[in-house]
Amino acid sequence: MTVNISTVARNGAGNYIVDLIDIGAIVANGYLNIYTGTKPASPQVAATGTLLANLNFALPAFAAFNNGSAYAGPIASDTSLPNSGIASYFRIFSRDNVAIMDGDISLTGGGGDIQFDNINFIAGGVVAISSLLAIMPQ
Amino acid sequence: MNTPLPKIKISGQGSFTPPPTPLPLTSKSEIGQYVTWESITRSYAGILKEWDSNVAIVQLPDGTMKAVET
Repeated sequence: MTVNISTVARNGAGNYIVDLIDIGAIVANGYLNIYTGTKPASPQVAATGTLLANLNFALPAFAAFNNGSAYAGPIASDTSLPNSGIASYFRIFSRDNVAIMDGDISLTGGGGDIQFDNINFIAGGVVAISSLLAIMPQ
Repeated sequence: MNTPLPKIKISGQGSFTPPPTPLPLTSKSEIGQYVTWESITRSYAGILKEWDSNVAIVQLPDGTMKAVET
């Protein structure tokens, strides 16, 4: 059994979720952290693993949803990683440092929510995200 | 029967660029540089975080900080 939601509902739900990234005033921008290890069961569970990279969103983080999807604005690269390790999952935080969503990382073609050409991150290296698309399925 | 609503999906592309070859740590090394030095027993490499007089504070790949006299 499936429930189909309208495009208006998809846009509304998607906007509500990604707009949470912009809420807050503790830090200037929402941000995306990349960690080693197993993705926690939910964003309510504290992040585990080694923090490998920290990338800041623009403000607002995402454009408005259109036809059920929206692209993130420019994401600032982490230009000097503090630690080395195998990138495994990411967590997106609001400007109040509240975890909003988690996702998997893989090599390109590996099925991760964000796919990198190289997941063996080395301290001092540069991590960039060239595109990030949020999709609210029908 | 309860049917779950669709969940948001994320689809992203990224890249990782390895650090440049570390430069030898000297008194002229600049904060943020990827530097290397040798002790009696082994060599190290890390990110120069700050200077405390002539002592370099360097972050190693495991995240620990190490003070190195130059």
